[in-house]
Amino acid sequence: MRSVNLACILSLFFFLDISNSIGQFVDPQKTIVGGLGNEFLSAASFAIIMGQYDEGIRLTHLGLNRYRPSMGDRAAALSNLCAAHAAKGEPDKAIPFCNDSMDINGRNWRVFVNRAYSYYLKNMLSEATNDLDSAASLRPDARQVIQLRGMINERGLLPRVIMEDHQ
Amino acid sequence: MIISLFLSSFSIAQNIRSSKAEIINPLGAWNCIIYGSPDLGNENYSFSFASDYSVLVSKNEFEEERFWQNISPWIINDKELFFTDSRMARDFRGDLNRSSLGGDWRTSNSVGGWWCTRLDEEVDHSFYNNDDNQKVGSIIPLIPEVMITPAYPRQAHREGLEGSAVICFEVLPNGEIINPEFLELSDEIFRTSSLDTLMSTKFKPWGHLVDLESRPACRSYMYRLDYAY
Repeated sequence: MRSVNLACILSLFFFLDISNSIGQFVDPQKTIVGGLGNEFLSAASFAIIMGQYDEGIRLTHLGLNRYRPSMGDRAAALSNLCAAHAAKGEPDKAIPFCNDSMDINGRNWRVFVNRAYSYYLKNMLSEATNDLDSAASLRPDARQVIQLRGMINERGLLPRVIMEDHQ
Repeated sequence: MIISLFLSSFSIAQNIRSSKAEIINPLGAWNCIIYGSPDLGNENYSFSFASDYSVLVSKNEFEEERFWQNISPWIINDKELFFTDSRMARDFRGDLNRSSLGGDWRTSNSVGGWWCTRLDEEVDHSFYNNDDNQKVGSIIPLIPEVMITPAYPRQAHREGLEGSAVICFEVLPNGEIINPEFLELSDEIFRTSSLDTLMSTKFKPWGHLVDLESRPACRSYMYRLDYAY
């Protein structure tokens, strides 16, 4: 169970991490320490948090193969793989992991956000919006949801201003 | 007669002042913009409010003669001015708490707004109330010389917010804009961009062609977002 929490926190960190470039910040209270049940998944989480996505992906795969994670842990680990690949700018690799995670747990709002971001990278804004709406229905006030909504709106909504003089 | 007229005028003015020191005294002539009519578009009228509670109206048109017509009595009720243009069944309501006379109007099937600046002109109501006497006048259209399109506020864009703003203002004879006043503002987020853009506007100077009075005008901004996907 602790590794599930860890993985969920990781998902949060992931999105915050990839959002750093647009001015987000990492919440320092969610520091992760080692020594949890699945050592590979714990180390993978830490690696991804530190921005070492390749190492995080490698360790997550080890954690999935060398241990027999619970379904919850597995869903979280797949979500982390999705997050890490998206953070690397590999949405085509990320989306299948998000799909697998959703097949196990369809009510994890972070997976929806991760997949929405992956779709955003592929410029599939309609799909990204659908996933983000799903995430928002589960966690409407999440900072990541609001942040990604803004990014999608900026790219997908064309602004215009109509002026009219009355005299 | 003149004395009684003067006294009644003074009495009305006193009543208005005593009810609230800052409210507008509508007595006199006003140069007004009436906007929002789907059929008529923007209209430029002059109104004259007399102490005998009559209202004269005159349409200002470029190089056209204008006629003062008596349309209805006016009343003030709780800092609001009411009168009706009986020719078009259009009911006007003015907010006397504003810095300049203006408000909204409505007919059976449409609504709109109006906004005025003082007109330094004396109108003999008794003369125009009696028959179809006319007064000649003309108005030169205001032509923007410098006009900038506002930038869509980034926060509104990110939040997917649409909105609108209507600002009325005076145009000096040299074409500069003064005394802007928001008549409508759907969201505070649109205030700065609307106002900044308006104040960057300059109209072609027109004062040397007619007189040196400022003229009223309004501008509406509609902020819209279109889906690109």
